[in-house]
Amino acid sequence: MAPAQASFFKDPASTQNIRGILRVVILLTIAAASISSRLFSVIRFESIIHEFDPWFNFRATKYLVKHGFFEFWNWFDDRTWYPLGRVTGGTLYPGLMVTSGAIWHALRMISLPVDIRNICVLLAPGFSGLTAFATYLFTKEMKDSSAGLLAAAFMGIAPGYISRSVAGSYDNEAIAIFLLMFTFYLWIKAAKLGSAMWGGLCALFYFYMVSAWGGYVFITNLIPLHVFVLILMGRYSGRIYVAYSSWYALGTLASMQVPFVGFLPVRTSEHMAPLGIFGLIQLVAFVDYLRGHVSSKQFNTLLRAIVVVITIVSFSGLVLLTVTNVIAPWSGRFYSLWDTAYAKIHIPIIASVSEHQPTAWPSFFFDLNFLIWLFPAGVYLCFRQLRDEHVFVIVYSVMASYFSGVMVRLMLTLTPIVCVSAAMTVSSILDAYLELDTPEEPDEAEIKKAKKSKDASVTATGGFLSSKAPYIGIYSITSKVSVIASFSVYLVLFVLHCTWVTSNAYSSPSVVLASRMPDGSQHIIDDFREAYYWLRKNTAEDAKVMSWWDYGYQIGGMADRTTLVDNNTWNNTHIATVGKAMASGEAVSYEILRKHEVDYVLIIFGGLLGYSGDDINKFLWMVRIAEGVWPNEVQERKFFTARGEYKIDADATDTMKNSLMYKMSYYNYQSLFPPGQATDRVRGAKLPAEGPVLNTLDEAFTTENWIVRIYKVKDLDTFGRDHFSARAFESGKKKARKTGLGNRATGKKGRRNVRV
Amino acid sequence: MRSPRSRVSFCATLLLAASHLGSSLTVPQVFKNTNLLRTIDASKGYVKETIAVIIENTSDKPQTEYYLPFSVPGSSAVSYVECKDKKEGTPCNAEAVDDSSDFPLKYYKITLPATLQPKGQVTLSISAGITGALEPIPAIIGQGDKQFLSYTGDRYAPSPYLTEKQKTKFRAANGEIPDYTDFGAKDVEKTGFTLTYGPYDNVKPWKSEPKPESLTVRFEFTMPVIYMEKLERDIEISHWGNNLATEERYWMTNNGAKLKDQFSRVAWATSSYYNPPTAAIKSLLFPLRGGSKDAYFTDEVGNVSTSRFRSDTREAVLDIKPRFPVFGGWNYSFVVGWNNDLPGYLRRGKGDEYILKVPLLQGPSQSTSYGEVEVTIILPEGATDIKYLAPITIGKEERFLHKTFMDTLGRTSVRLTINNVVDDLKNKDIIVTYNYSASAAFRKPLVVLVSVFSLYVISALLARIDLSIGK
Repeated sequence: MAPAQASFFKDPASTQNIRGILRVVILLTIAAASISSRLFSVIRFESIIHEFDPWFNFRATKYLVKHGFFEFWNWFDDRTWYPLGRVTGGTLYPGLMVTSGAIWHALRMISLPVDIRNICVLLAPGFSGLTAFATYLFTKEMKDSSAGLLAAAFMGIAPGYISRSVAGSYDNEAIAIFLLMFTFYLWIKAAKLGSAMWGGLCALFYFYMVSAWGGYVFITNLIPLHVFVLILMGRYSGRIYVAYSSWYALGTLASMQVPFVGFLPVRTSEHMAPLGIFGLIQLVAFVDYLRGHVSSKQFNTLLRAIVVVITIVSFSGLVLLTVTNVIAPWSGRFYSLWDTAYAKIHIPIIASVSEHQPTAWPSFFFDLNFLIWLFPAGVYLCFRQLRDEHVFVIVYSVMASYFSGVMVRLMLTLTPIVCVSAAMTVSSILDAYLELDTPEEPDEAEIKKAKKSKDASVTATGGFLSSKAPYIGIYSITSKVSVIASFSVYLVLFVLHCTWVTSNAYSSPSVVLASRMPDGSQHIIDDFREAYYWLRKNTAEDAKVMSWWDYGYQIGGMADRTTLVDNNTWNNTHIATVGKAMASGEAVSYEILRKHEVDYVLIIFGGLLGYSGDDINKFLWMVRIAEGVWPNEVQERKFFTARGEYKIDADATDTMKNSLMYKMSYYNYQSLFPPGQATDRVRGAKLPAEGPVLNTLDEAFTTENWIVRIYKVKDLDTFGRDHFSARAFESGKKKARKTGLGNRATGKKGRRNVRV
Repeated sequence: MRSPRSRVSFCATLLLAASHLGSSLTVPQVFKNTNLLRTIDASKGYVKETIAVIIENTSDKPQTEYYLPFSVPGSSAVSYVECKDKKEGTPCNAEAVDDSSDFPLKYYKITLPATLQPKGQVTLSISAGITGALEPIPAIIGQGDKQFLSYTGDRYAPSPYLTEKQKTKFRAANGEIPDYTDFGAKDVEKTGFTLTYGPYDNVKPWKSEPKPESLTVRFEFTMPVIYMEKLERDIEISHWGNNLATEERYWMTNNGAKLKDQFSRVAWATSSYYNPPTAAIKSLLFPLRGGSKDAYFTDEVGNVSTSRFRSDTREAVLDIKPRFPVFGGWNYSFVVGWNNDLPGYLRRGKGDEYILKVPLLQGPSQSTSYGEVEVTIILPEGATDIKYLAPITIGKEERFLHKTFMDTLGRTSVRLTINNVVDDLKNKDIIVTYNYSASAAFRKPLVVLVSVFSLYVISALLARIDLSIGK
C-alpha cells in the first residue's frame, strides 16, 4: 500500500493534474492573503485615499472618468500652481489613472457600477495579487514551480512591498511593481526562447510600465546591463540578439508615445545605456556572422579594426551630442543616487522629502525580515547554476541592493529580487530536507560512476562550480526534523512579523490620525478633513489657498480649491516664493500674498496635540529652499539663536518671531492656557507670555485639535492705511474703550463701597 | 379638436389676462367669521400659522367653498395647508388658488367637510407652514452673541369676509422678546412666551388699499435656523435581500444670523465647557424607526467619525455631529443612510401585487425647513403598474429605470419632487403599490448563473485551443 502511494505521489505524469489544481489553489490563496493583509486600513479606518500623492492620482482619475480620455490627455489644470497652472495631461504618468478608469468602465459594462473611489482604494491590493503571480512566474523560470510558489507567498506579504501598496495608497508604485516583475518575467522568457513574440510582449509591458511609473528607468538600464554582462561573459547568442533587439526597438518606440517621456529615450543620458547596448549587440551579431565566413587570423585583425573604429566613432559622437546639448546631461536626481550628500547641497527640495533619505540599516530587517539573510544564499545558488537568467538575478540583486541603500523608497525595487532569491534558498533547503525516503547508502563504485557521468554531463553543458556537486542526501532523521522545524519557525515568525509591521507601520492613512481614549476605545483625530471640508463648503469656489507644498495635493483633492504649490514640485522658484512668504516678516509676505491673489493661508500646527509632522518642524526646509533663490533676503542662520539652536520659545531670534509662519502657528495660542503657561507639546518649549500679533491676516478657521489653522488674507484697508497702522489704531481704540469700561466698573465698585 | 392640454393653457392665458386687467379673484361674500383665533408659532425657525375660526353661512344657499388667504410677503412661501373640522375632526381639502393678483396674499380654497346650510355654523382649524418669514436681526452677530429673529405680518388676520371677533396670538421661542409692535390702548399683552393682540371687533374684509397695518415682533432664538437647500432621499427595495435601504443626501445651511468676525476656536473651545445654547449647528439627531440598522454618516471627503447610533426594536436614533460647527451662513453637506428589514414596510396584496408603506420624509428632530426634496423610490427590477398615494401634493413626478448592481433592465423607479417643505410633514407615510411577478424575481439569479456558466465554458474552450505553430 505505502510504496504504491509513494510512487503515486512521485510519478509526475499521474499527478500532473492534481499538481496543477494545487498550484492554482495555492496561488489563489496567496493572492487572497496578500489582498486581505492590505486591508487593515480599510477595516480600521475607512475606504479612504492615503497620504499626499495618491490624492492627486485620485483627483486625476476622477477627471479622467468624468471628462474622458482625450480631455484628460490635454488637461491643463488651472487650479494648481496658481497663477502658472500645470499641463497636467502632459506631465504625469497616466498608466495608473487609465488602469482604474478602464476597470471602472469594464465594471460598468457588466452592470457593476462601483464608485471610482473604491476602485482607486482597492487597486493596489488587487494588483499585489497579480504581483505575487508575476513573481511566481519569474521564479519558476529560475528554479521550479515550488520555489515560485514560495516567492509568490513572500512577495504577497513582504512589508517592503506592502509599504507602498496598502488599500488606499493609490500611487504609481501600486501597479508599477507588478509591471516590473511581469516585464522581467517576459524578458527572461524572451531571452530563454529567443522569441520575438516574447520580446514584443516584453516591450508591450515595458510600455505599460513607462506609462505608469518614473522608475521604468530601472528596467531601461537593467535589461541592457544583463545583456552587456552576458556579452562580456562570452554568452552572446542569437536568442539574446532577437530578444533584445525586439524589446529595445518596440519598447523604445512605444515608450515615446507617453507625452511625459516623449523624446527622453533618445535625448537623455539615463537612456543612453540601452541605446549603446543596442549598437553593441548589432556589432557583436555582425562579428559573430563574420566569424562564420572569414578565417580566424583575418578575423582577428578585422575584429580589432572594427572595434577600435566603432568605439572611437560612437564615443566621440556621444561626447559631441552631449556637448552640443542634444543629449541632456545626467539630472540632479541621478547624481543624488551616487552621492547621497549631493541633493542636500544642490537641490534642497529633493533632500527635504523623507523618502529620499538614505536607508537606515534596521529598515532592511524591518521590511524584509528573514528574507534579507536568505537573499545572499539565493544569489549564491544562482552562481552555482549560472544560466543566462541567473545572471539577470545577480545583476538585479547587485543594482537593487545598492540603490535601496541610497534611497529609502528604492527598497521597493529590492523587495522582489529578495523574495525571489530567498524563495530559491528556502525551496532548495526544503527540497533537500523534506525528502521522505532516506537515500540508500551508495557503494563506492557507484559513487565513482555517478561522479564520472556527472563530470561528463557538466563538461557537456559547460557549467562551472557545479562540477563539484556529488550525490548528496540527508541520512539522519534528526537533522531533517531540526532543519525543517527551524525553518517552519522562521516562516511562521516571518508571517507574524509581516502582519505586525503591516498593521502597525503601514496602515495609517495619515489623513486621519488614530488615538486611544482612556477607556481603550479608538478616537479618530480628523482635523485635516475638518479643515479641508470647511474650505470646500465655506469659501468662494475660486479662492486661492497658499500652503506649504506638502498639502497641495490634499487641498486640491479634498478642499477642491486652487493652490499655489503642490507635491508635483516642478517649479522650484514658485515653491521658494511660498517659502519666502512663510519665512519673511508680514510686510514682505503681505506683498507676496497680494501679488499671488492669495485668499487663504493654511498651515499645520501640532503644538497642542504633539503632532510632530507640522510646519514649524518643516520650517527650516522652507527657509533653505527660499534661501536658494533669494540668498540676500532669507538667511537660514538668522533663524538660529546665537548658540545655534532652533528655538521657538522666548529665546527665539527676532527673525523667527517675526516670520509669518511663527506668527500664524502661535497666534492666539497663548489664550488657551493660563497666563504664562502656554507650552508647545511637540518641541516641549514654554512659549513667551505675549503672543504674536498679526496685522495682515485674520484667523479664519482652526480645527478642533488645532492641527490645521487657516488664515484669511485681509483686503486692502478701506481708508488706504497700511495694515500695521490700521491695526494699531483699532487696538488703540479698543484699549481706550476697554480702560474706559474698566474705570466705569471700578467707579461703580467705589460708589457701592461708599454706600456701604 | 383641441387637446385637453391646449385647453389648459388657454385657460391659463385667460386667467393671466384677467389678472392683468386688475379684476382679481372675486370671492362671493357668502360667509362671515364669527370668531377667529390666529396663532402664529415662530418657535421653530419657520412659522406655523394656525387659524381656528367659526364661520357662518350668510347667504341663502348651501355653501361648500370657503376661501382663506395667507400673507406671504418677500421670499416667504406657504409650504403646506391642512384643514379639519375642529369638532368632528374630519379633514377637509385645501387647495391653492392659482392667482397672485392680491399679492402678498396667497388664497386657498377650502372645501368644507359637509355642505353648510344657510345660517349654519362650522368650526374650522386650518394650519399652514410658512417658510422664509423669519429674518435674523441683526443680520450679523458675534460668535457668542444672542441671535434674534424678526417676524413681520398683518395686524389683522387677512380674510375676504367680515370678521366679527378676532384675536392673534404670537408664540416666540422663549420669553425674551425685546421689540414688538404695540398699537397702544392695551392692544397687546405679553405673557411668558406669548404675545396676544386683540380682541378686535368687526374687522372688514382685507383690501390692499390703504396699506394694511403690520405688526413686527423680534424675539430671541437660541437655536440654529436649519435649512436644507436640497434633500435627495432614496428608498431602495430589495426583495432578495429582504431589505429596505434608505439614503439621504443633505445640502445644509444655517439661515440664522451670520458670523460677524471670523470663527474663533479659542472662544468656541472655552464656551463648549459649559455648553451654552448656540446659534451654530453642533449636532443633528435623526429619530429613526425601530429596527433600523447599519447606519452611516459620510460626506464628500469620506466617513465622519463623530456619530452615534443606537437602535432597538422600538426606536433608533442616529446622532451626528458635522465636522465643524455650522454657523449662520455656513454650509455643510452630508449623507446619512440606514437599512431596515423589509417585512415591516411591505405587504403582499392580491396576486403579484405588493403594497409598500414608507415615511415620505424623515430628517432631523430639530426643526428644519427644506428647499427642495427629491424622494426616489427604487423598486425591484421588473416591477410594473406603480401607483402611489402621497400625504401631500407632489410637485413633480418622474419615472425612470435606475441601473445598478447586476441589473439587466434597470430598476423601476419613481422620483417625487416637492418644493418648500417644513418638517411637520415628517413621518407621514407614502403608500406605493406595484406588481412584481415571480419571473421578474428570478431574472437576476438566472442572469448571474448564465453569465458565470458561459464564462466557464469560454475559458474552458480557450484553454483547449492550441495556437502553437508546428510541433
